[in-house]
Amino acid sequence: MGMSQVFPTRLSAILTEIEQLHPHGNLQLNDSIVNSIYNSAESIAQQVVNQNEQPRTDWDKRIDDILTSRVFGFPSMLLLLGMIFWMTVAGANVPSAMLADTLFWGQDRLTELCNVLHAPAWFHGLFIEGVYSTLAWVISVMLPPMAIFFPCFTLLEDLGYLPRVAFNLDRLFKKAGAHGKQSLTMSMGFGCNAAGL
Amino acid sequence: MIALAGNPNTGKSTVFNALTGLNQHTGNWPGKTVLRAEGKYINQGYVYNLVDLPGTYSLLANSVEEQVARDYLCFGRPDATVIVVDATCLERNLNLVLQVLEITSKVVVCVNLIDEARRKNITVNTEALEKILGVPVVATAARDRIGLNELINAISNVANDRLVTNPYVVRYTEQIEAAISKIEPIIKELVGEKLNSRWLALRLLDKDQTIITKLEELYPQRDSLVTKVGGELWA
Ligand SMILES: Nc1nc2c(ncn2[C@@H]2O[C@H](COP(=O)(O)OP(=O)(O)OP(=O)(O)O)[C@@H](O)[C@H]2O)c(=O)[nH]1
Ligand SMILES: [Mg+2]
Repeated sequence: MGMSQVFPTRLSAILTEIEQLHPHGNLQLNDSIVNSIYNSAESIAQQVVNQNEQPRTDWDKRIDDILTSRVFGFPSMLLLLGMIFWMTVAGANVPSAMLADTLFWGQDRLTELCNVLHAPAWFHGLFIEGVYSTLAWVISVMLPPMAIFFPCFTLLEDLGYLPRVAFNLDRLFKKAGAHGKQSLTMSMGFGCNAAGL
Repeated sequence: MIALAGNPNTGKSTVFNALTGLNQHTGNWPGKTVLRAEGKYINQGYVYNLVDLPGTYSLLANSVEEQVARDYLCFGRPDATVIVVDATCLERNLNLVLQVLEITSKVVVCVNLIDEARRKNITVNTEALEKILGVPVVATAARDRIGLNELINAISNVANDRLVTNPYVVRYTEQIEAAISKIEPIIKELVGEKLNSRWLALRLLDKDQTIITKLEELYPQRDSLVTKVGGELWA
């Protein structure tokens, strides 16, 4: 009766047929599919979008080609991300030190204030040495790297570079079964490690 | 049921809030909406349930958000899907539009951030885009509630089948097209009109494991169920 028509059986029959169509999955299907979609999108966009500042589009296009090309894509990406890390780490040191100085100067003043007010020792220990100085450390260490790192990322995002990073890394992460977007999260992670130094 | 899809940070939640009067979190960074949010609005006596999906760059299910969005579009079978696209970078956004059009034909494209585009001297010819894509295209500036009435009308036309769309079809290489035309008929036999057979053929050819798992979930092993019941009867 309808027994041979059961869904899972028929599905696996189809899968077997597909297996025969391209035995080792080496049709490079995924790349080719993504390419066709990208090409269609590009040609449609060309027909309907009008960017009035002509020179900029050309530049955009050329930069885009370099940034996502197979040869230059990775080096230029690493260079850019590397630059951001360097800026974050190096650039953050100066304001970090400055912040730390001011905040700990504040702690000294607060200590003096406690002495003047004859505050109990536990109060001073708990609030000034405990809460305040921890906060001071966290702020002075975390804030500057964040203040540099995130604007940089926002800038890249505005320039439309982040999706390109995602596109670049797509192939690589694909092999690990992951997704290019994770690169963003990953570099955020680096950012935090850098901040932890 | 109306789904809201689109790239991250294109203003989906802003459109959602403007239509439903709710207060979903919006923010100027991608990935603000992670889980889907639901709300409703009433237009000409019909209640529309709106689902705000997480933003994705594609639907190839490489990440959880993409899988959530894709599964909803393909198995949730919304009456219409609004794709919110960023007018300032249409090309990147079109990749997603083309992928959604492969899954469902009941689509409205909402070209949002049109004010931003104007500021950057970018113009988008929505009529031409509408002709090419074969689905309604509406220009909006959701934050300023511009174009929302047109959007609501377009949604109602598509959801109530008053407007028959003719979605753009991406053509693949000859090899792939040949394989699709072999597989598609048997898939159509299997799933009928419930799912898009061309798209399903493509996914299966690509050996998309997530789709296979989902299909097996949706249509459980009925034969094994029968034997189990039979076994109990005999015992
Ligand atoms: N200029 C302008 N800005 C807008 C418009 N619509 C939304 N925005 C802004 O764009 C930003 C992103 O909006 P959201 O609605 O959070 O974007 P989303 O698509 O929901 O983002 P995800 O949930 O992360 O995918 C917010 O800061 C909005 O205020 C618009 O029409 N014009
Ligand atoms: Mg959102």
